[in-house]
Amino acid sequence: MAGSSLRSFIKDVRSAKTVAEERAIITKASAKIRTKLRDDHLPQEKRRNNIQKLLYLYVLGEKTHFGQVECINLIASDDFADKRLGYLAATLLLDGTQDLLTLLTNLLNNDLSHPNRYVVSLALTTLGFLSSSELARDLYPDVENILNRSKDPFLVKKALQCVAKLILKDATLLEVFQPLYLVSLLQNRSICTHGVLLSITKVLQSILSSYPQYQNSIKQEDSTADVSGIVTELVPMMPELLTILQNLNTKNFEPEFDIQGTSDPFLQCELLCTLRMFFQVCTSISVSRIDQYVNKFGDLLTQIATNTDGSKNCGQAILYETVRTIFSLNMEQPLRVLGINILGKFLSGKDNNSKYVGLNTLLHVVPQEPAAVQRHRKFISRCLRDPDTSIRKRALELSFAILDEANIKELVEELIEFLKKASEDDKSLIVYTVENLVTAFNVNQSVDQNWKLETLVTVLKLVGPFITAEPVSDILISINNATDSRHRNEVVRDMLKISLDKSRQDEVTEDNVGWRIATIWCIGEYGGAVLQGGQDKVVSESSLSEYLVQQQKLCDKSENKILHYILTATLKLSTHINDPGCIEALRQIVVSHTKDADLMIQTKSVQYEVIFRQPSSVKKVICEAMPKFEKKVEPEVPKNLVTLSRTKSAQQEPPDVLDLLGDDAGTSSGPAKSADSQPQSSPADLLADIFGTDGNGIIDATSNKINAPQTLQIPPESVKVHESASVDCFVRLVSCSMGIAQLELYLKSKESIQNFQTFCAVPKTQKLTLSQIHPSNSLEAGQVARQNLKITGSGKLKLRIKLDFMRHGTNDNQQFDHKFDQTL
Amino acid sequence: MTYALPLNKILVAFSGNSHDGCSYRTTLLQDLFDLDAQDAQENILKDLCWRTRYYECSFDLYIDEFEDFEEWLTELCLQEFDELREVLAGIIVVADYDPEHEGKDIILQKFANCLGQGSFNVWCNTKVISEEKGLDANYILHEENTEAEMVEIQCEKDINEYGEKLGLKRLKEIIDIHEWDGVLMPSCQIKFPK
Amino acid sequence: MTHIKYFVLASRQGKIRLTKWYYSYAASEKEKILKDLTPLVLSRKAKMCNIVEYSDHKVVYRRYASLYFICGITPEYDNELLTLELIHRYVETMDSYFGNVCELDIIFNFSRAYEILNEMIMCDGSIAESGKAEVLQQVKTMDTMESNDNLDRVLS
Repeated sequence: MAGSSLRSFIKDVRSAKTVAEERAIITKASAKIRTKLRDDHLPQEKRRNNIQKLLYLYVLGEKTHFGQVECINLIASDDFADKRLGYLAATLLLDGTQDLLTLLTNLLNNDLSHPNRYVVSLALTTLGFLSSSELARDLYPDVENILNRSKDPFLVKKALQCVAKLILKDATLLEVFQPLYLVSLLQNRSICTHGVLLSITKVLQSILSSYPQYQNSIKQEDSTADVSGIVTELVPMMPELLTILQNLNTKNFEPEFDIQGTSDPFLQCELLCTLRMFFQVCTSISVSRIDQYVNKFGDLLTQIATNTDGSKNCGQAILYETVRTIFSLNMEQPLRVLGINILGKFLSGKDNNSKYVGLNTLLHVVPQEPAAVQRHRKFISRCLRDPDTSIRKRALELSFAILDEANIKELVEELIEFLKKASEDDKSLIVYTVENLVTAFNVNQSVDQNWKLETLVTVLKLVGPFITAEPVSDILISINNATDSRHRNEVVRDMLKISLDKSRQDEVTEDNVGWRIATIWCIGEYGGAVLQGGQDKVVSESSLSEYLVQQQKLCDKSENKILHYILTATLKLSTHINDPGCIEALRQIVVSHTKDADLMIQTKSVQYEVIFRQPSSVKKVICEAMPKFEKKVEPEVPKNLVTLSRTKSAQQEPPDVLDLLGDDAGTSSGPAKSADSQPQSSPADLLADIFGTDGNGIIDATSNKINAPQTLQIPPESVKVHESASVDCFVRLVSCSMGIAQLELYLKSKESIQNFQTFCAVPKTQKLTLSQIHPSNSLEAGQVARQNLKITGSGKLKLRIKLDFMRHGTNDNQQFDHKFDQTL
Repeated sequence: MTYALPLNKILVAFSGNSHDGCSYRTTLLQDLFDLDAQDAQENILKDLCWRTRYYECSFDLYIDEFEDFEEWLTELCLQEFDELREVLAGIIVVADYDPEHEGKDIILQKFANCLGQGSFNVWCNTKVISEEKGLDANYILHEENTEAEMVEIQCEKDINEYGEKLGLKRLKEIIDIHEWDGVLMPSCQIKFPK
Repeated sequence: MTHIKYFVLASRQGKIRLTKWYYSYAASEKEKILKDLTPLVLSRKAKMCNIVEYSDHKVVYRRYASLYFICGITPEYDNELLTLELIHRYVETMDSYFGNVCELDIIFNFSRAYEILNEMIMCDGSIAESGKAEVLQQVKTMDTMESNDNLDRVLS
């Protein structure tokens, strides 16, 4: 190649190589350091350098355990530089479980009373990072000693941070900790820097969150013991904390803590959070004298919500914390509305982070203030068009959470706009939308049925390329169950026109599998009815047959699912047409698969071929139109909400009706008793299997709107998966097929609990969708709540569940795992 | 025991077209490596020194020109140049980058993977990018363990809204943060230039 | 409140420059998180929000000076917006300490980057000091004590 000098470069490399062989040996840096660390005669200076390098390797993610003893050697040194590095290395390389910690105990013990405040502070920091419950007990007196003696804000701060951690590690320290120390400290303004205030909030948070556990353990030993002691002693701090927060929020005298005009958002948020916990705990153990502060706190929250500058992130952070406080304490309604309006403002702004946070929080509080959230619908819809997918996702969820009969048409219009712009990347959002749309249509029964059907067809046309079999089935059910059959036939005719008219081919692309399936299915189910309405150039016996023939040719091996639909549609259509040529073309479709490699297809084809040969009167009976599909209805749902029940005429259907949607190779049985004497499941069950649904969607969505809690019963077939003092948990596996499992989680409370939340995790190969908790996330003793879970994907069915709730005003959480026998 | 040369050679390749890469040769080499005008015409320069506030290390510079980047890259990736690629700390290509060019992603991908892990692959785009084209002035193509970075040498600003260095400054930074063989990274003695 | 699970610095090239864990993860979990984090964050486009859902928690990040400052947070406790403020505060403090901090500074002075972090964020991942000047002063005083030590050693 002309011009390139690569050859001259390689010559240069080769000549250099001969020289190099006498030179450096490059080995792994860590090996070198290891040998050096073993060498006791290395000067301190060098050792420090080696630990530096070791830490560097740690940052790069290499194994560094061999340096742990050397960290302790460095800490033992008198040299400050050694100590500093040694402690840093200890916090990074050691953890709270290692035996080496015993070696550390003595060193920490010495350094905690070191004359140099920085040595003391390093020891405190390290103790915080590495504290085991043993270290906590052993060294707590040393830390307390610092608190009692020191007037140095820097050390007081560090010691308090350490105490906060030690209490979390060992709740029995609550017996020794002197709450009066905090009370008097708070009054000593000369020590109370922002750092010290922050650390006071940390100790308070630790006390308040370890308190329930501590209280239980005490009560178990002695049921008459007075356990409100320590919290009661802290109550005098309440007015002080309120005043500090108020002053911070209104005045801004300290430039050091000013962030864009907002005074120390960190401290403001921590104070809010601490007060929140304070009220929660105090309410639960009914501490007297607390009531007077509740109103004051309410006023302060109003003031913060009104006065804080929400134009910058730091102000928004405070507003956000305020809103969280309002809702977790379930403050008065005006305050809750104020909170919703703050979040609404977040949505209308430009900043994506506050938009995300706003949507996320609104989603949680919709049940508490549905009407107030509604008012921000315009901005929620606007977020559907946001370029950021996580914002679109939240906006979608929120849109469905606020959807009701009054706004359904407008909202659906927005959703269709969203679907129009959606792309392959939004697949999960699209599936989510379709599923929820179908559910919403089922729930809101009084909304114009014809409009719903038209909407679903429009949606299918838009999203057919992206969705899986399940949502398509849902749409087919809706078509099947349409009450106005004349209108339904018109809609189907319009669909067929799009599919059959060559001049309209660009309207639906070939990759629109959902649309293709729907067309095939409609030809089978309604071909007859549509043809009765009159044939024309586009819709005729031959065009319908031809379509099925074409589709069969399009199917390759990977599309066996479509083939099932085609076979059934072929058989059904053949009973509605008269043209012998067309009927024969259809028969050939079936015949061509009687030797198919796929056993299910083969069996089906053989059986259909038998039916094809039956007299047409018999065929017609077998291939009768589908009955209305009944979704299994939960007994507690008022009947008027559910009109999807089986109609009388459907019940009178002859037993031989071919109830196949044809989409399911795994569960569909042979066509008719005449051809197959295998026991058959009842049509409704079969359909339930095929669709993998059971109507639980209806329940999810209604739970948003039904305010009066209804009494739920735990179904007898549920399995108990968790038991505790406050709540029992049961699971019922509703269905598990085709990569989709439907489960119901029942929570039975044994005492009054609030703010119930569940966090569930499934294996990586699976995806989980959780419904809202029904009927409410607050339960009285003995009440039952239910949550529906849908798991899609593959692999063993396993669940990890974390329950998070408030009892007696404190946060509690419980976690457990459950393995099912079933595999997806 | 393995004997190996340190990976301390930088290969800079200019497009031979006078309108883009080539005309930048002298100024870029002068600005980046502190060469004088005469040295900038050489093809091989040995024992140069790269200095930062934390370390200095010696390196060699190989300077090449090409007519067609794809062909040049293919040649470099031939087996006969294995020994050359093994001693390269990184490659800097100076040429127009056409974001509209079909197959540009494949070329960049190939570029990213031509040296092993831990090397730098930088494309200095000599074309002025228009804002509305939306090409991120800070683009990195990430492969499994390697990457190719685009540096806009014509960029007017030298820092963006994220405080990220642009243009020549970024190019310098890429070489600064390269983990040179033989430079032991953490010395941790802060030397603040006053 | 802030209650972060971890703090990670990654370069735009995808290299990890600093990791600090505030939650006791197993070694394999840490490895997985570090492996997932960079592609997760690097794939975010410029105008997207800085909060990403990841695994069982959320990740809040900020892009600055060819680095991504990444925090893992507990959704139930953490205030995402405040976490952004916390990252910003850390960047500012490093900026003041080094004078326009850059990636090279952090590579060569990662232990200083840790020292500053340890003054700002306490062992449970919550904020320990909200005053920038206070953090800087303490770290710098310790720096001086180190160099005095060195001086003593040379003199003795």
